[in-house]
Amino acid sequence: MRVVCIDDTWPLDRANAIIGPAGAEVVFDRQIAGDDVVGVLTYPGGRIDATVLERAPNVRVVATCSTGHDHLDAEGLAARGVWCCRVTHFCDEEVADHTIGLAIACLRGIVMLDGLVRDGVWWPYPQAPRPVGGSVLGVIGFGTIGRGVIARGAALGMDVLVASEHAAPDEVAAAGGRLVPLGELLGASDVVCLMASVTDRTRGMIDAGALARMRPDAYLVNTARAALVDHDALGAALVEGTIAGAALDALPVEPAPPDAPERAWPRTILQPHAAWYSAESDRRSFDDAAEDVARVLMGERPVSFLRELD
Amino acid sequence: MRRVVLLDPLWPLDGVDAALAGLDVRVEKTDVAAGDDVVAVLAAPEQEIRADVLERCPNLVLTGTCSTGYDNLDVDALSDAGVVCLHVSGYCDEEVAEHALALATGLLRGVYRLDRHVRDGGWWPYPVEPRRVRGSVLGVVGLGNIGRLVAALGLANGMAVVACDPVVDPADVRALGVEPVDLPTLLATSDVVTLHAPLVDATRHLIDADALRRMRPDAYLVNCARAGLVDHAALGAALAAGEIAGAAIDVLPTEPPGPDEPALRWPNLVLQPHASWYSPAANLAPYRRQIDDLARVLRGERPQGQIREVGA
Repeated sequence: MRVVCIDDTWPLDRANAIIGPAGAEVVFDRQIAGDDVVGVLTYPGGRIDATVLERAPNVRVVATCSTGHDHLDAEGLAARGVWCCRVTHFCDEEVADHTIGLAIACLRGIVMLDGLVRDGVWWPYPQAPRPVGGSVLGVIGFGTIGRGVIARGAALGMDVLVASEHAAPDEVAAAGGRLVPLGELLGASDVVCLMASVTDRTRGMIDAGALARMRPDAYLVNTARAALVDHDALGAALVEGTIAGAALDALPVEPAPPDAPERAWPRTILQPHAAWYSAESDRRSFDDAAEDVARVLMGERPVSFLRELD
Repeated sequence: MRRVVLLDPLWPLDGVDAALAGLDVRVEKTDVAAGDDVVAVLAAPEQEIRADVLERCPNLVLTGTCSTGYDNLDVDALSDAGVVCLHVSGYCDEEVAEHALALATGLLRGVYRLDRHVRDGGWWPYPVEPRRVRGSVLGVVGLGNIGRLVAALGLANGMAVVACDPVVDPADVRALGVEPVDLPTLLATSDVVTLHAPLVDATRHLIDADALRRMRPDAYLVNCARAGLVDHAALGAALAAGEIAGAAIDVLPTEPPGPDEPALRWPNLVLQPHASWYSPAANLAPYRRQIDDLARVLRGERPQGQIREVGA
């Protein structure tokens, strides 16, 4: 039996150590084909749907080393009896750390100031560093990572506002924030952090109207998904000075191509989808996915699946 | 009329005349203080006031620097000669502490190098491994007002904090939730070493080649204090050799730096234009406080920012 891994960065030695005892060998291959293929390991760039069964009819499990699963047709695969698994919570601490790091980097102007010195400028600063303590942090979304960002912001003395359709005011207060309507959050925050997942209700939620509600000295931090933001509107807001700046760890096209418009935006920090990363989280993303594959091959239920099988 | 000389051409003059009204002085901006009529000389941190000013201004009563650090004043020689030496403190403690923490967090998460990496056309793999902030060790050198705030912010951010300060009782350090250690231990254990000591003879080049070698190869150095705390050439060598993972410095031996400043070409370095003190509120505070203190001295009252008693 083989498990085909289509991600050439996946550490196969560890995958084999985890899946081997279940009786399958993990191999790297861009083609998923053969009667002996029982599982697939994939990543956000590798789309898998039920057509995989035309070439590999005995696949029983597909697992991705990511939380996002837009690249998996979970419904179609479940209908054909294939478990569709993803990994969750493997990088909650890292994303929360990175998000608060970008928020305070924006407020203190750090990346802009480094560029300034290298351009031969010293004083005065084109954009004034601002206090962190007492500033208003707006967190949109109240999942595990959002709660981590709320706790960090509150610990640094920030006044934390939270907008979420799924949270109760007392829960938010216990986490260190205050639940407010989205419009109020946008109008009051020094930094707005997007911590929501992409759904039909959140897609494009930061559009021209939302950006116009933000303060002209406010920053937008997106370590979640690019689809939450209308990037044409964001580019216009940055060029026109509607908002003070942005830090983006999620772009509409990744890796960012040479002509990505975001490269030309002023007052923008660009990150290569790195908020999730630490040596620990990197290992967990692969190992947690491999462990669910091993469970299925040993006849157990996987832990982190997208659709129940009938 | 007696003269007050401002060496800093950028010293904001708003409110100065009002603060000094009735004290029979006029304020003048000039780059050389000289004359029988000069009673006070005030400087920016990059401007030196040495003992030779006593010869040029025989009736000098007061000198001051509109900064917390006062290594630009010959405090002992001036005070021995009866001249009051002023500095200002506490006007930007939160700003410096927050800036240091922001630099430390940015280094641990690789924010600067990753931004440059994307702009250079890179994506994956990363040129630097972002690390967890929670659970990492922050080493605070110097537990004055700013050092204590940095320690508190580090603890709030989930970091373990160790600190060394020869004049603070270890029990007081523990009371902050911080582990008191000696400097070699701090250097050897910290993920990020951040400097918050004053520049005095005992701390000059505190971070030299030997200290840098004691640091972990994956450790970062943050200096928002004074450039003289670090052997600048040794830091450049350590960065070039990969002896430490990187540094962020808000202070340079020459400020502003010239185009030949070697640090502009060092790898894994974040450069800041002596900006950690800044916020809109902190911007005007040191000037105002120093002028208010000057007025106190001229009125014969006790100033708030006198560095030491006068007289030999």
